[in-house]
Amino acid sequence: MTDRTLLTDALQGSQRAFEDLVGPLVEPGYRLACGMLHDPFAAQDVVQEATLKAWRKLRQVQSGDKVRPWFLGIVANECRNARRLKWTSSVTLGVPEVAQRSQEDSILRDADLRRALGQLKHEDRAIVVLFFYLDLPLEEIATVMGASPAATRARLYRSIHRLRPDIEIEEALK
Amino acid sequence: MTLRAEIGKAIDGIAPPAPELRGRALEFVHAELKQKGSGSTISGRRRRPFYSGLRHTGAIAAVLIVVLLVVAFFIGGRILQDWRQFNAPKPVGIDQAVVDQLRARAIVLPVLKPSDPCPSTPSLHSFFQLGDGPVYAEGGPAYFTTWGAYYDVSWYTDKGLTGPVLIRGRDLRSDRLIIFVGQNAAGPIVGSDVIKSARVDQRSELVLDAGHPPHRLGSPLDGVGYWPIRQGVSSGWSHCFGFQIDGPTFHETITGPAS
Repeated sequence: MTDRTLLTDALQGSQRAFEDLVGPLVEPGYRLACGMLHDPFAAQDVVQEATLKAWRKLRQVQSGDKVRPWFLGIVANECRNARRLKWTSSVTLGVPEVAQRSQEDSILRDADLRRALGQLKHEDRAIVVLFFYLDLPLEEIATVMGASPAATRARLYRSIHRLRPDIEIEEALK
Repeated sequence: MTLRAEIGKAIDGIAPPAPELRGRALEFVHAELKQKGSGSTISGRRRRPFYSGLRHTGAIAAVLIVVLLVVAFFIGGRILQDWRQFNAPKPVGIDQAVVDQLRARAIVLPVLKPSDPCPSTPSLHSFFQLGDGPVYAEGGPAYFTTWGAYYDVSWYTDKGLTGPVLIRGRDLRSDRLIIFVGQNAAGPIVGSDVIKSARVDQRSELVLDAGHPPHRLGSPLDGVGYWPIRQGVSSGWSHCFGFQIDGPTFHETITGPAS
């Protein structure tokens, strides 16, 4: 059954069709929310809310092939609502004897990268996560963000530069 | 390693698989539909009220009920509060006598003027945002209600730590309570609120049974206890928090500004 047929059935009230349509998008939605919030518990809450909103707003979908960016857009908006407010502004890093261990180095590098991601603007962070983590094409990311592909590309390049000022864009896009 | 792989690895590190989420999210939709009795129609179409002819009578009855409830609230509120405090849940396996001893310790958090700078206690641990042990914390996402803001904060306890840990929080510039909701919330009920359609009791304390955390971290922090906690503070707070953490063998204070 195509997405278009599922959408038609779901709009007529078929919960089964809704499940078949949106169910496969829950996992990518969760990954997006994790990338945005860096908190799996909050991410699960966000996806749950987004799924309910998807049911309520199903009429907004224009055609079946746009369900994925539409749903991920709802998730991204929910992530904005569940704003991550830090109780402090920094994490203390760099205890020498800890940092010398390679495994812990790796964990610290991951934490550094997550913190850098967290410092990006909401829209920029969403674009980075959708592009690098969910492997979505730029055109679809533009649909999620409600922006033009050119503007989305520009934001992606700018974010890459902020994350890794020392590497070329082409290299980063690999 | 490419940037794509680096980002994937960094996010994977905090995104454990959630295979049950799909079923739970869809079940959440079903439950909402059932609760609202909206049948199978998608939003945007409201049913005509079946009892439209009784609307005026119903409205009068509703007003009377509200009046009765308000009266009952004022008369019975105090009794109910006392009853709830008497029946406050006591975490299983925790020695209440020890908790009471910890509770008897005076709160020594600073009380600041509105214009005072917010003191920030440095974290001496390489992994945690707040605290120098044996209890640590990390900030989390916020949710807002008409009452105030709730934060899903991660608390951590050292691997070898046992016994009850009592945590009490204040807004240092206004001395208002930081409240806790959920399983580990303890102490008297100080209010209630609705979060995502669910009514919750707000309590003034958090009690952790340090020897039995709900989760333990893996390598390289093997065994560190992990406690996902929802806590909140009423609207208009000064964003300068303080937590007093008391255990049988230690006392710890965490203060800092929330951004």
